Amino acid sequence: MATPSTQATVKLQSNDNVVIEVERAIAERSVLIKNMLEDCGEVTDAIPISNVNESILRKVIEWCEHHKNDPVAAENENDDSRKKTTDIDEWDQKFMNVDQEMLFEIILAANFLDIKPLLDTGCKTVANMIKGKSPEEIRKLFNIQNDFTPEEEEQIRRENEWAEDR
Amino acid sequence: MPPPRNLSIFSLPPELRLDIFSQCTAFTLLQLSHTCRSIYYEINTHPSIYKTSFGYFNSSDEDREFKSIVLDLARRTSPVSPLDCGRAPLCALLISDLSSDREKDQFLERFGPGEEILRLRGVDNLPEWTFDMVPYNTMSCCDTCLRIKPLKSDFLQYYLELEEDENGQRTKSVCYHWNCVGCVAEDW
Repeated sequence: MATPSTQATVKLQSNDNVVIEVERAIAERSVLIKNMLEDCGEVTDAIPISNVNESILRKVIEWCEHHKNDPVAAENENDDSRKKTTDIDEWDQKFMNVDQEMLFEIILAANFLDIKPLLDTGCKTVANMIKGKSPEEIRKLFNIQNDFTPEEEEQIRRENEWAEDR
Repeated sequence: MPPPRNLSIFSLPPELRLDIFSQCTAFTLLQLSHTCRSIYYEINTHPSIYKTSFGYFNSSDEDREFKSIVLDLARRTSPVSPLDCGRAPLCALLISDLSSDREKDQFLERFGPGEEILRLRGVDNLPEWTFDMVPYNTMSCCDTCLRIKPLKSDFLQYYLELEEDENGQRTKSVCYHWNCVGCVAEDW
C-alpha cells in the first residue's frame, strides 16, 4: 500500500471532461475514491469519473459536502438495518426533489462511486414515489407499458381472489 | 459530450431495481408486480424481497386456523403458464398489514369485499345488512390497525363511539368505521 497522503484536495473529472476540485474528506465519502486514494497515495492528476457527467457529479459532491461529518457505516453492517425504513431527512428530501431522470442518474452515480447512504436515499425516494399507487398510476409514473396478455390478466385475477364462490 | 441517456426505471441494473423494491411494503410490491410482465417476474423470482417486507403475511402469527386457510388458498394459486415463475406468486392473500389509509383504499378497491358491501360503509341502512352476504374467505382491512382480517369472523359493521356533549355528558353516537373486533374491544 502507498504511504498515506496528507493531500487536502483532489480533482475529479466528469465524463464530459469537466474537472472539479473538491476537499479530500468530501471526495472520500465515495468508497471507490477513498480506496483509490489509499492505494495510490498522492494523486495530482484529475481522477476520471467515467460514468458521471458534470451536473450529476456536482450534485453528488453537494450531497457529500452536506454529509461529510456523518459517521461512516461499518463495512459489514447488515443490509437489513438500512433497508427497513423509508424515512428520509428533510434536507435529503429537498435534495432528491429533482426530475425522474436526474434521480435515476444520482442512483447510478451513487452505485458507481460506492456511496451507500446516497444510494439508499435515492432508492427510498423512488420507493416513496411508488407507495400507495395503483398499478395504473405506477405505469403512468414510470411510463411502463402494460404488456400482460388477457390470459395473464385473468391469471393475476385468479391469483388474487379470496374465495372460489365469489 | 455524452448524449442524453433518457433514463427510466428499466435503465437501472436489476440489482438496483431490487434495492428499490426492498424498500417497499408488501402491498406496494403486489401493486408493482401487476404493472408489467418484467416487474412481475423480477418480484416473484426474488421472494426474499417480499418475504422480508412490511405487511407480508407471517405464518408464525397467532391465529393458526385463519393462517392455515390463507396458506391453503395461496398454495391453490400456484402459477400456471404463461406467467410461470416456478413458485406461488405474491398475491393479496399474503398481505397481512397495510401501512397507510391510502394503501387501505387501494387494497379495498382492488381486493376488498366488493362494491355492494363497501357501499354500505357509512350509510344509514348498514344495520340491515348481514354478514351472511359475505363469502367465507373474504378479507377486509381494519380502519384502525390497518390489518387484513377475515370479514366474516373478525369485523364489526360499525362501532359506537362515546362523545361528550356541551354539558360534559358522554353520549353514544354511531360511527361508521369498519373496525376489527380486536380494535373495537380495545376502544371500549
